[in-house]
Order: sequence, then structure tokens, then C-alpha cells
Amino acid sequence: MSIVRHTRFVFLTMAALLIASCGNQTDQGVLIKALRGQYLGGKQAAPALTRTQLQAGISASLRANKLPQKLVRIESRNANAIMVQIEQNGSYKTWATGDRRSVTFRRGIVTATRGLGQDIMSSDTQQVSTLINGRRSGNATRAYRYLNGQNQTVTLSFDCSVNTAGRAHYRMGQVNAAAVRVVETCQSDRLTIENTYLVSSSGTVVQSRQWLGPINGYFSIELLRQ
Amino acid sequence: MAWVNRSLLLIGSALASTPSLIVAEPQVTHSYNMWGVPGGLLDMPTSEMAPDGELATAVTNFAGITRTTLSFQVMPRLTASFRYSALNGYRPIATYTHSAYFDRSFDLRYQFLTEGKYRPAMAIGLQDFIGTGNFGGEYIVATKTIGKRLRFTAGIGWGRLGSFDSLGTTGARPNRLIGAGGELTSERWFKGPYAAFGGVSYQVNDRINLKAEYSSDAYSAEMSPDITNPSAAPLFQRKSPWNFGIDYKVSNSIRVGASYMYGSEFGLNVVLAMNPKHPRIPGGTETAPVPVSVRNAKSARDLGWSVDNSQRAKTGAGMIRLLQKEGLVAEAVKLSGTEAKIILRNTRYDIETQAVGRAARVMSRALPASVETFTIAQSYKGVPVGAVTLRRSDIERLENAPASTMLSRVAFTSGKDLTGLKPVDGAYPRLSWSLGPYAKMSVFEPSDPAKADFGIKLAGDYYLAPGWVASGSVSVKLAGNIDKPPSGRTGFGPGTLPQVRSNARQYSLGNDPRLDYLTIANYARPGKNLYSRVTLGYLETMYAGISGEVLWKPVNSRLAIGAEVNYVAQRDFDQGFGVQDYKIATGHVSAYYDIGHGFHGQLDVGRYLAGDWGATLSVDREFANGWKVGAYVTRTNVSATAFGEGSFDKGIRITIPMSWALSRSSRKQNNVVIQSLNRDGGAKLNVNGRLYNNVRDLHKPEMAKTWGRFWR
Repeated sequence: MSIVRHTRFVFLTMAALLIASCGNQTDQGVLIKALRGQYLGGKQAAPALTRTQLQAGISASLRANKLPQKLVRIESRNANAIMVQIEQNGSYKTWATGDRRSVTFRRGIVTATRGLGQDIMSSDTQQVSTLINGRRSGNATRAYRYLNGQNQTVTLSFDCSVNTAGRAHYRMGQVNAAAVRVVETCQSDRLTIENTYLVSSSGTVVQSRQWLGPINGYFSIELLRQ
Repeated sequence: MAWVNRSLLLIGSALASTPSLIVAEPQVTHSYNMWGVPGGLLDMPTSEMAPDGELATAVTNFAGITRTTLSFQVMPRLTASFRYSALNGYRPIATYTHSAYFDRSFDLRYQFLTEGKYRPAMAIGLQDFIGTGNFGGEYIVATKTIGKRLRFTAGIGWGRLGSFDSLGTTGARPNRLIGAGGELTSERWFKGPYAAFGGVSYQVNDRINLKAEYSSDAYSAEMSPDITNPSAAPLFQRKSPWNFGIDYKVSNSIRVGASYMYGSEFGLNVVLAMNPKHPRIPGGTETAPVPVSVRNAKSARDLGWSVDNSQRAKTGAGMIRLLQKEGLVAEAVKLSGTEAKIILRNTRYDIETQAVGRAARVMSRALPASVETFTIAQSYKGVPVGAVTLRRSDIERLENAPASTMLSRVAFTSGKDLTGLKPVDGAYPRLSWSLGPYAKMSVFEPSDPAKADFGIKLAGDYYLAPGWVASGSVSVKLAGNIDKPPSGRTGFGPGTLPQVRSNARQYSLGNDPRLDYLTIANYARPGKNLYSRVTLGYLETMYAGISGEVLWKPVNSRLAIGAEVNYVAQRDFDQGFGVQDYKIATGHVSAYYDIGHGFHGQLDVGRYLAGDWGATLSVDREFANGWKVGAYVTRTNVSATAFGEGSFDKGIRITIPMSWALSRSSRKQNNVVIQSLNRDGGAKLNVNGRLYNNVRDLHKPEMAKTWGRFWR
């Protein structure tokens, strides 16, 4: 073979193999798949929904089953999802989306996430929960636990002050309730965060905006069905 | 310019004698200098360190001198660097034939005094301290930060760093080549003329850094670059000792710089830095595990299902299916009324702790309420090598508690008691195969910066029964230049040992298919803390024979002891089925120790492939996410002349876990070894499947380090 033809042969074979690296093991060609995704486009971000589209989506979801449902959104990513309650362990309830991302709540306050990136592993929310669900003002502490780059658990602790801030009426999906607005302002030595909740007379959080962590930012949650 | 030197000397000593405060944090910079080591100046060193764990590749160029340096912050106050330099038009030896001179050097810097309110940080450094020492220099330097943006540096240098306008001498500096090269140049350190150097760097904003320095490096050797031609032009004109530069941060990983060196040359600098401690998304982005299912208190007493065989089989099958969804293959399952034991093959998670946690969740959902104890073992080649025993009540109770509370409730066992478990139907025999491209690189050789081979490889493993596996790999080279013959270099010849590794290029000739390896191996558990391996066949590219290994490693221990014995014959160069006449018995006794604080050490003592006796010491910095950076040194009973160029074998090795880059679990990892030279002394057999690294991840010390991932 001449040099030119030989070189072309090599490149064609390599190209073919790179795209079709095969075998029967899992993790086959994982690097190639990842690079492909990165350079050739891959998953596009979902286009923003209009209000009517969103309403239609909610109605369809509520008809699909009888489970409790919430509409959620990570503000920085601007994509809506509907979560369904899939499990309960004592006072902790785990909700999940169809693509296997989950959030665990205790009395409506986020205690853990999985699959959102920089997930909250677990939290201490008992103290703030007494105030928030009780719709009272006061001071309390809370803590979030994350994994660092070396798979060790790191804790972010905050001193919080909870205040009630007027009344509001919440109507969305199959929920219709009079609620009190509760604002939780928390401070650590480096961060200040503010979580807001709409809490009904039974202590249920019907709507909230809660901080998930340094990378994810704020998470908004609206109860569609209890 | 002598007055400048003396003023710098006075400033330096004044700074050093001010009262000290105890501050633990080392002085840190993100900037790298023209030698590829951390520092806010150009050719001169400072006392600055890179952030702990940072691994950086810097490529710098000026006056036809290109330096590619790999720098690693081994500990917060110790930097180690490996450099490959190419000097265009430089010819220090008459027999050298390349147009550029390639040289490898190692540097170390230790910040022995941290910065205080009034006290500067101080460091001591060795530049190019192994081997020919062409760029050799030693220094003591102090750097002080004023305000938030300004840093002043002053220091004294020896060797290269003491060559311009020296202030005095500390004895005579020997210049000879020690041994056959490759040795520590300790007889030169801090000897000979010394000179002062200094500089200032100014951080304009968080992206731009300005630098100015006074260089004490006269570049004497580069002024007469060609030993065969005394009137050859110098590599550059050294018109002034003042250098100026600017550094720009493109992103957290990339920095570029430009400089004006010695009043005559422009310089460029590009740095790519990464830190194993900081992956893009800590904890990864992979999807959620199944939640724990809490039992109904009444049904925990119902044991009826366990005596009904078909019920038990159905339960087992259901659990196996759910485990499969998590990337965990159940190789053996034993269910009784109150206990469940499984042997898992983990095909997805690089962190074994996460595999155990996910399995525990699945079992809480799939098993009837009466089962209270879960024993989850993980296998290597079908043999259980470590197990974790958990109580279901703890799993239910602690799902939302910190991971550390779970760690105190579990027990780690060696898994030996599960070896008799009956394998799941269809688990054996099992074939796993792959076909794909391969790239083999040979970089930073003394006479060639980069050589590579590309081709296609077909590999497979056939698992006959638990612990029995037949493996093979065939590859075909499509293109490459690893078989290029080396060019003339230093005066030292190849040494007088049998050619056990130095003939490596003979195995790369031609494009015919070659048999990489073809073996049958057995893995077993001869005792509670014992693991064994026997491998027979074509063990690696150059050797065929039999290899046997025994490892003693208690599951809670940081120490392990192993012994390996091999009898091998050198294979034919065409890597077919034939062997040559050279046969040798080799073996080692090894001690492995988890030192703590992220360090791991290994000592092997025994006989190497050329028949030489000696020991290898390896030390690695290990990160709990799978990254490893380390170095090894081998000394045997052959003399430096018998060994040949390099005097003794040494190298650097890096392991990069794929999951760190992908932000989700993956069992693939990339292993890079930069070996000093392909010589015949201190050469070990490369046999696949050695026990220690495949066993240790399933034992308590490693699992405890990563326990944060249990509930992930």
C-alpha cells in the first residue's frame, strides 16, 4: 500500500472503531460516549414552557395517578418537573421525578436530594421545623451535609431566625388553602440564605422556596395534591 | 550590578530575622514560573506552594528552550516536579546527533517556614538534583506578602542560580557524572559560587498578575552551546539580568503568560492545572438510589416464605433483578428466614461503599420482613474478598442520618465464610469480551519526547467457575514509531545484564497480530485472612510461565504482607507462541502499609528478571476519590556500570479515575507510568490480576475513608 492510502486506511479504521468500540461489558466505550456528548451536542436543554403548556402538563399528571404530587423547579436551571411521593420512612417522605432524581422532605422541608448534583446527603431540620410548621417566630439552628471531592461528609451549619410575614391564599392543582407566609433567614460565617414557606393551618407547607446548596441555589416547590 | 546583589541580600536577611508568629497555612500561589514550578516570578524560584494536591502541566518556551514540567503538590508544604526540557541547537556531548538536546530533571521545594504577620515564608529547594544535573541549582528563598496584592521575594542560589555576579563561594563544586547518571547529585548541593536573586509580583485583579525579577542565572552552558564548535552562536543574548512578565488566568484550570527575558527574548507559558480534591461536581450527578422500604412490624414474624422453596426462589429472583438495575450482579445468594447473604459483582461503582449502600437499599425492598441480617460480599474474579454485615433495623432507622452513624453499626468481615455459596443459575460459565482501538505511548524518553503506537485490540475473559478465569488478548498495530531505534546519547552503554527489558522495541516491530497475553488463572481463599492466585500461560508481552502469589490481609488491618514466586521464559520477539532460551525464577516478599494522611507505602524485596537481588520502595499520595500520584525507586545488587545509563530504576505513576472527569460512577481508570529508562536492572514481571489492589478496596480502611458515599 502506498503511504497515502495506508494512512487513510489507518484513520478510517480508527474512526470506525472509536465510534463503534464494542464488547459485552458495561462501561464499554464510556469515555468515547462522554466525549461525543460533549462535542457533538447530546441532550439539549428543554425549551421554556408557556403558561398554558404548564397547566396542561399539570392536569395530565394529576389525572395519571392518585399519588401526592408537587411541581418543582431549580431556579438556576429554569426547567419544571413534577415529583410524586414514592416512599415514606417515619416522618421522612421521598419524592421522585420520572428520570430518577429524588428529594426527601420532612414536614415539607427539604432534608436530602439525589441526582441533582452536589446533593444534600442529609440535614438537621428538627429545630427549624418546630417553628416553621408551627407558624411561629423564633431562633433555631439547622445543618446541611454534603460530600466533598474526596467522598467525605462536610457539614454546613447555620443559625436561623424564623419570622411570620403575613397571610396568603394558595390555590394550585388540587390544593386550596389559607396559609401564613414564614421566612427563615439563616447565617453561617460565610453565607446568608433565605428560605420562604407558605404554611397552611394544619402545618403543611403548600409552597416554598428552599436553598439546596452552593452549586444548585434555590429550589421552588408547589404542592399540587396532598 | 554588585550593589543590587548586596541590597537584596540585606533585605533578605532583614526579613528573615523579624519576630515570628505561629501560622499553619502555607503560602500559596496559583501561578507557575518559566521552569514549570509554582511561583509568581519567571526564572527565579519563590517560597510559594501550589494548593495541596494540585497536579499541573506547564509548557514554557523562550530562546528555543522548551520545558514541559509535571508538578505535584505532594503535601501542603512540599512540591515535587518532573521536567522534560528540549534545547534547540544545544550539543553538550560530541556524539549527540539530534538537533535538540532532551534532558530530564527533578525538582523539590520545601517551605520550611510559613508566612506570619511580619515573617516571610521561607523555602529550601533543589533544582535538577538527580542525574546529569545540567540545570542543577539549590536555593534558600523568602517571600513576603504586603497587603493583598504584592509579594516580594529575595533569595540566595547555588549552581545555576549562583552563576551570575556571585557574592562568594562555599567550597568547590564538583562537576563529574556520578555512577552512570541517574544518581543524586548530593556532593554538589550548596557548594560553589552563590549569588542573590529577587523579584516582585503584583496581583492586579483576580486574573492578571505582573512579575519583575532579577536573575542570578548566567546561562553559562547555553552561551557556548556546541561542544564541537566553540565559535557557535549562543542560544540567546543575555543582555540584562532583569526579566518581566504578565500572567493571565483563563479559567480555574488554565493560565497563560508572556514574558520578556534577559533584555532580548520573548517567552511564553501555558499551564494546565487540576486538583484531584476538586472534581467538577462533588458527589457526582448520577441518579437516585431506591429509597429504603420500612417493614410492617407484624409481618417480621412471618417465616413461612423461607420454608417454601418456590417462594424463596421467587424472592431471590426478584432481588437479583432489582440489583441488576443498580449495576450490581448477584453471583451467589443464600436466603434463610432471618439472614440474607449475597456475593456481588460491582459493574458500576468505583467507590465500593456506594455499591454496598445501594445493595442494602434494594434488599430492604426485595426481601420479606423476617430477614434481619444482610451480609453483602463483593467478589474479585468470582471469589468473595470482603464483606459488610448490616442489620436491617439500622438501615431503616438511619436512612436519613449522617453516614457516620451507620459506619459505627456495621461489621467488616473477610468474606471467607461465603466462598462455599452456590452460584446463581447462569452465573457460570460467563464470557466478557471487548474490541476496540488502543494507543500505547512512550513519552519523555532520553532521546525522544513522544512515541506512540496505535492499533486494534481484541480481549476477553472466560469465567469458568468461581475463581477460575481464562483470559486472552490479541492486538494488531496499525501505525506507530515505538520501534524506532534510539539515537546516540551519553557515553554510557547499555550495561552488562541479560537483556530482559531493554530489548522492548524488538517486540514492537512489524504489523502482524501479536498475542498480548493468554492465561488461565485461579483465585482462592486459603484462609480467613489469606488470598491466593496462580496464573499460568503467556503472562505478558515479553514473558510466559507460571506466577503464584499469596497475600495475608486481615480485613481491619492497614498492613498487608504478600509473597510472589514466578518461573518464566522470555517470549519470542514476534509475540507468538514460542519462547526463547532465557529462563529465570523471580519473586518478591512485599509489605504494604496504609500510612495515613493520604499516603500509602509498599516495599518489595526479592529477585528481579535479570537475576539481580534488591528492593523496590514505592510511596503514593492517594485521594479517596481514586486519584493516586506516586513514585518508586528500585535498588539492586548490580553496579551502576552493569546497570547502564540511569544507574538504577525509578519512576512516577499516576492513576486517574474516570468517574472524576465524568461526574458519575465508572469503574474505568487510567494508569500512567513515567519510567526513567527501559533498563534491565530492577525489572519486575507484569502479570495481570495481582491481589493487593483488588482486595484492599473491600476492606475496612478503604471503605471507612469513603463511607460518606454509603447513602449516595
